[in-house]
Amino acid sequence: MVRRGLLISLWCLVIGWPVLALAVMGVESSEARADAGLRATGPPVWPPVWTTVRWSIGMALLAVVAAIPAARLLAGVGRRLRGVLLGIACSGLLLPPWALYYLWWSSMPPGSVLHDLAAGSNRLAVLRGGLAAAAVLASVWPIAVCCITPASMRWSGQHEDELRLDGVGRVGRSLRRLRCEAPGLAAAAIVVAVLTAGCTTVFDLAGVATLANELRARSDLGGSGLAVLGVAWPLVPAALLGAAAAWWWAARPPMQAERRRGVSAGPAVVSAAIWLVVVGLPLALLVSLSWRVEPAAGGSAWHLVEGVARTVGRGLIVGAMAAVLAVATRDLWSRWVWSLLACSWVAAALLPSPLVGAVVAEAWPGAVAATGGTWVLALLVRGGAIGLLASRWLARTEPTTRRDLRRLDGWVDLVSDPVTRTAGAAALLIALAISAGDIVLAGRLAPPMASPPIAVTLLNAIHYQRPETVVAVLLLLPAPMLLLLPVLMRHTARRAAPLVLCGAVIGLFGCGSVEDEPIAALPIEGWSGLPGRTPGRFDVPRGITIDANGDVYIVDKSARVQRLDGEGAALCWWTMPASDNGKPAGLTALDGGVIAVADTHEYRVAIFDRCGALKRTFGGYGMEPGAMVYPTDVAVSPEGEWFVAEYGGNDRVQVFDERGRVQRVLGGPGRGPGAFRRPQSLAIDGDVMWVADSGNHRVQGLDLQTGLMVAEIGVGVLRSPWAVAVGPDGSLLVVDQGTHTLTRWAKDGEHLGTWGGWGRAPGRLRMPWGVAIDPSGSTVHVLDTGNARVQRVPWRALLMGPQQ
Amino acid sequence: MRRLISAAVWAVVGACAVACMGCDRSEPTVVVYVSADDYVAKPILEAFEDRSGIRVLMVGDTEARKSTGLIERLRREGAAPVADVLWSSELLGVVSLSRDGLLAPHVSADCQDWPPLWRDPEYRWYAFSPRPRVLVYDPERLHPSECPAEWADLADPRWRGEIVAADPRYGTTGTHLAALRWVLGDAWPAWLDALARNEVRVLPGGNAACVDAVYRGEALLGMTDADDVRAANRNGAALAMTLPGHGSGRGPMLTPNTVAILQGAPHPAEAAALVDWLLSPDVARRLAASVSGNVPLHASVAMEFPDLAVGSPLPLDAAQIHAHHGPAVAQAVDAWGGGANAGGP
Repeated sequence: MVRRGLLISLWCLVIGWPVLALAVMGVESSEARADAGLRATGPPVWPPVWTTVRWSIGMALLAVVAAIPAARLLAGVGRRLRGVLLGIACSGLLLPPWALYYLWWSSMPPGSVLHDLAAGSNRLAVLRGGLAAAAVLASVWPIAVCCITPASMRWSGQHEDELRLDGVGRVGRSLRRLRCEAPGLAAAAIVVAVLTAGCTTVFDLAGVATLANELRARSDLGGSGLAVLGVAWPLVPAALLGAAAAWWWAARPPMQAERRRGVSAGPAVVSAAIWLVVVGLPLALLVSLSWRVEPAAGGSAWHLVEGVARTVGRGLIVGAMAAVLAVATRDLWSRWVWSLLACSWVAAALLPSPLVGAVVAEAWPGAVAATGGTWVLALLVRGGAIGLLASRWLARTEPTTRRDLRRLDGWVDLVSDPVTRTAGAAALLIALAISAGDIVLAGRLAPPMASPPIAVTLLNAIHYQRPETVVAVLLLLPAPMLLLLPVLMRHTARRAAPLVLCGAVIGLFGCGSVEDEPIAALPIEGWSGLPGRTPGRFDVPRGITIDANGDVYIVDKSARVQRLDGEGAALCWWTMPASDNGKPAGLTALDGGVIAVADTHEYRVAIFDRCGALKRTFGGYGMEPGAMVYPTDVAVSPEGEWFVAEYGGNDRVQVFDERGRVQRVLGGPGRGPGAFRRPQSLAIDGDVMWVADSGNHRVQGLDLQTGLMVAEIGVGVLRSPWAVAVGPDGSLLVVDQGTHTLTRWAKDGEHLGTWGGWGRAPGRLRMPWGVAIDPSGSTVHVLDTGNARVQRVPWRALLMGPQQ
Repeated sequence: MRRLISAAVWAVVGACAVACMGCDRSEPTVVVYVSADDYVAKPILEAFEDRSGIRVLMVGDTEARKSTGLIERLRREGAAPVADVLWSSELLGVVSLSRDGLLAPHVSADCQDWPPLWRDPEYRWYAFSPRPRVLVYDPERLHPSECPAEWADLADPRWRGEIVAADPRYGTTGTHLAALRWVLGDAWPAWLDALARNEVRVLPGGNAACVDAVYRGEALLGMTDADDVRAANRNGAALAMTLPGHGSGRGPMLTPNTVAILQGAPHPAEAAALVDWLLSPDVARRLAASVSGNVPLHASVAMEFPDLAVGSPLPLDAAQIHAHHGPAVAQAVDAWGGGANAGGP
């Protein structure tokens, strides 16, 4: 009796009265309808409806395909490990999808590879859409996994063996298995599609106009619940269908005990890869962002902690209600009337938040709204539905004998059952996560408070470019849920829970990179440059050289060559005559004020004077001697021979006379002595040519005439040597992209020092591309490509070796 | 088992206590609905708390639904408002509420001499610390000399596919379109059609999304507010802005903050104190010095911030803007699409 009363009371508060109020307004108030129609005007809704349909179907397919390997993995392992893996899979729910989207998007500013690739091909909208899909996938993938896993568990190894003996092929067996999993796949697809249709903020940030966004606009513009419903009506049957599917699937009878098939490597690898991409990478980006930004100031940080505490407190109310519903109502589902009530609740939960907020706000105005009661009731629409689904799952899981015994013991014994505790804790956690991530309801229904709701603060911080606030909130928000996670796993994985918790904490806060020894910073005397395309700034600088006057020449990815003085002030600049195919990767200053540019993607060497006038070119596409594919660097011997390195399948060094006629070819693609994999840089010292053989992770010294290898340095230490220069004392300076360092070597291969290491601070390097030494031999210029700058190092400081 | 139930009960009670912190009404309190940026508004309201001893409870807003949501919320609250004060980041909301009879007049010694251009004739609202309406551009992609000098110049076909704007149904974009409809007069329909032909893109994410689109190179020009550009530049973007005029010698438009007391406010005395504080030179100085860089209206404060001065701004006629707002937004939505023509995969 108490349980029925509880269900009916809550249903009336959360679902019944708002729907009734809506119906009463619809029947009685034609004025209200006219007013609603007047206020809620807007563009035609069919374009956003169509966009929503495409996204829903796309995300449903994507989530189902991505969830199948994980579901099969979970189906093949024991109960305890399944609990652990499910906990890891659900870690995508710790952060709202729009926060995940921000982490992706903010990690790709102009100048980053992906951004520039997308911008260059006019596909930024596609990139935004792809990132939005990844963010939504992080939230819906665990749900799809939960839907499909029970279906996968019905497929036994014995069944597969029988089919194999019957001569059914691999494809046939796969089709049979998919048919067996079909109910789970269908339920997952429907639920994911409906959830995607309800997403608002992530699509807002991604610039995708969906129906939920339009609903929010009309609601904000004063549209009544009825007016919003008038636009949202296509989603109502979809929500009912989704609710029916979820309810039916939660009631499927438990699987019979069958022999486990064990775990094959395929699903485990694929699942791990998917988790890494949709959840692991954004969390890593969060850690990376937290290193880069200044921490929030003390007073501001306290406000954030307070805001998170309030959010968690509110979420706990909703979560506790969900847990109570999960535990208390599980004996009610034998009667169809209760199922009908619960199903309507689940359907309401699948509707977009703007519609839910508009309807509940109209049903509970005044004092209830002023104290935040309306907000909690609106959050309970989703939280309560989670509890009811958990209750339904409990009812079908419990063996009949235990159920009968429990009924004899009475209602108090409900919580003594470990499965019940698990379901209750799960309902609490999920409802808490949903409440914490909600922003549409907070924006509309939050009562006056000392500070805005934390989700509003977070979204405004995203909009107003306050990464320090974003980082602080995103690190604080999942903490309570992480603390509660072991409760969920206690039943299924008592011993593993602390490990998972530790793993999650390490994943969130970072465990740092493991280095054999710390790398000394470059002992710089100064640096110049910033990202950009104005004079003195660089857009991914890719080559550096210094002429006899001490002027520095740098070519960057905007196909611009700049001449700068020794302090980095731009003296003049020019753009390569052609750059449609790609941009140059190297350049060399030669005697007589000549600048030779390895015009990589135009398959040639272009020669300019100091002011950018093109004097001549030689080369041209081809594999034959004299032609080239991707030239990377040019060097000239004291005898006047031109050496040109290239890659692209014909990795080699060609020797030309000063008129551009090929003389001989040194090396070829390969790993052996004298062979190359992407020779990236050349430096000539006497009768030896040093080649940064980047793909073979070494620097080779070759005889200028024969091409025979006379020295090999850096093996086992260098990971992608990208540039080489000969110092005043004959030692070699090598820039290594793989370790983000500048290294110094004796000609006999002795390692004399390493400086730099990954970082943005002065003295650190990110993806360095080049190194050059001024004519006086006093200053080394290191091209710090990832940081778009040139760092200047006194040569004598390098002679002293690395100083910690 | 009993311990578990007991723990659950205490958890709920504790959660309720935490959630309800701040609901203590025993001390002097004022409730303010704020659509200005949290980072600008919060320190000013905290300073007011420190000076007056009056506790401030606020309801904020998000960038994407800027100010419109709060105005409609106040309209729903009607004659029995929860709020005492509305601090809006634009003009039209208070004009609309004033016409609906939802604002109370307020005159005090501190604000009775407020310039008539920046207040309601019946003292129901006051405008303060405006910021310019601007076109944001990337100086590395567009030379300043190429930028439009007038808003009407956006009709030039050379800008085809290169303009982004926020949803005209919201906030300052709607107010600006109303002002444009007013000043362009008969030329308005042609201008609107020309922008539609120029495929102006309406972004669902608000003014900040326009700035981001220019920063990312998706558009050359973004219609936005100066404070959004400054916010982006604070975080490393190197964007510039131009302040186009409105024809016939009329300069840029200044979008003011506005403040008003609600009719039937539960705490009228505290509300009056807050309004006087927001109109004080001290707040003007704080807003001018903030990231937002608002233009101070007090002559004495303006002298301290010569960089923020805007020459011959468009004189705003609140009545005209209110009259033109509905048709302007409806026509813009019809011509451009209200956030529905934004790109997506």
